[in-house]
Amino acid sequence: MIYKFRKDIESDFEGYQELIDFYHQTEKVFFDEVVVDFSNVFWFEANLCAVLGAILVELKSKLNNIKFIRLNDKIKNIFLRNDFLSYSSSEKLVNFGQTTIKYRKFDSKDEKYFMHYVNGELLSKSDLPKMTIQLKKKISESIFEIFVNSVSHSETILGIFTCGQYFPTKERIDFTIVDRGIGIKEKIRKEIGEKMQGDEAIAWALEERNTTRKGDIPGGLGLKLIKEFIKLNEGRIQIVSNDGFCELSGNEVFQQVFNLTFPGTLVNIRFNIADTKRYKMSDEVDENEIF
Amino acid sequence: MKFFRGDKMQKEKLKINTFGEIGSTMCISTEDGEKIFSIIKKAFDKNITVEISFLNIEMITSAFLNAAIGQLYGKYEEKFIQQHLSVKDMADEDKFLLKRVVVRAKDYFANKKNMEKVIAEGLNENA
Repeated sequence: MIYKFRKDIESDFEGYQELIDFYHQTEKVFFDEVVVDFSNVFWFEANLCAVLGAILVELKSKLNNIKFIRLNDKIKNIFLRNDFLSYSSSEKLVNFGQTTIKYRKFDSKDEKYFMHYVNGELLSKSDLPKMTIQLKKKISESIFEIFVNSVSHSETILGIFTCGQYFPTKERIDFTIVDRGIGIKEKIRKEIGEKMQGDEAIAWALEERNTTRKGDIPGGLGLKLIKEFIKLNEGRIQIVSNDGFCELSGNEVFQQVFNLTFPGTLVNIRFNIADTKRYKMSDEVDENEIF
Repeated sequence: MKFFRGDKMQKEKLKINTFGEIGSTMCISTEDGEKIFSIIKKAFDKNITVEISFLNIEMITSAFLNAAIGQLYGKYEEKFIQQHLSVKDMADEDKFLLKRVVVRAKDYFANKKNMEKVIAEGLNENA
């Protein structure tokens, strides 16, 4: 079959809608050639390769062959630089510059590999835009919190997908993590029996104390820490899960519902790397009063 | 992991070198947190006091701390933990994170106990 994207793919509600439509239009295809036509796409945001990859993995598991056609040079260059083309259509790996954060697929037991990935792509890269050490640490911690959250909550069997991009002149990093798990709304319904709309479920999960955990290990903190950091950092966080969309930027919260469902959860974070705050804690914590 | 005997007035103390136990400067995963938890549990079950050192640790997530320390509050009384657990060589921001994990864990287990009580009462009423 041939699938033609209708427009640019950017990190916004319409861009995610376009990717969700692609998933639903192709989900039943089995043992075929799926030709993805990019002739209407002038721009495809690099970090969203994580989302496209998370969709393509299911098509591949259904024995389909994937082919990209009519990619403009700009997009082809992006897909080559971040290794996405090598994963998706057997292009040779090429070692380009330092502004990409490579596309990668991880299994939920790959936490150690993920640590190496973040180390290599973020912490120890030499040509990165200048950032304070503390900011680098906070960014990495946020990324780890999301990954571990996906591992513990999503029940994904198709994997976890990541990709990012540096924008040195705009002084920002965009980073996307996608899991092909059951989604936040479904997880809440399954674990605590509450029925919510997708966007309400995401907002619920972002509140402190809310968790679907019932076992021996407490939860309900990871996403809130990221939310707090992103607000201080003046960045942005978008979450798409099942039919829900939620975007937090400064004090603004934007929630929306898709007409179709995304098969999992994606978290897209924009970090402001011009941030020079020291992130000093307001109160010193006395070691003797922690417990 | 080593046992150190102090002077006669001191209790037996177990010192856990987190870096040595997980083999990394990054305390990220729940799995690594579980490793530390199981060592603490072994000691606590024998009434042994534990000191966890975070020397050489550069990064810690709430997921790791929830597994390593947060889940202790589901097994032991708060007072027992206060008397038997201490941390050292921890960066200020990580101490702040640990404090939040501890507050959250106490809350989580208090809610869990209440919920179990409500369910048990409901079952008794229906019996």
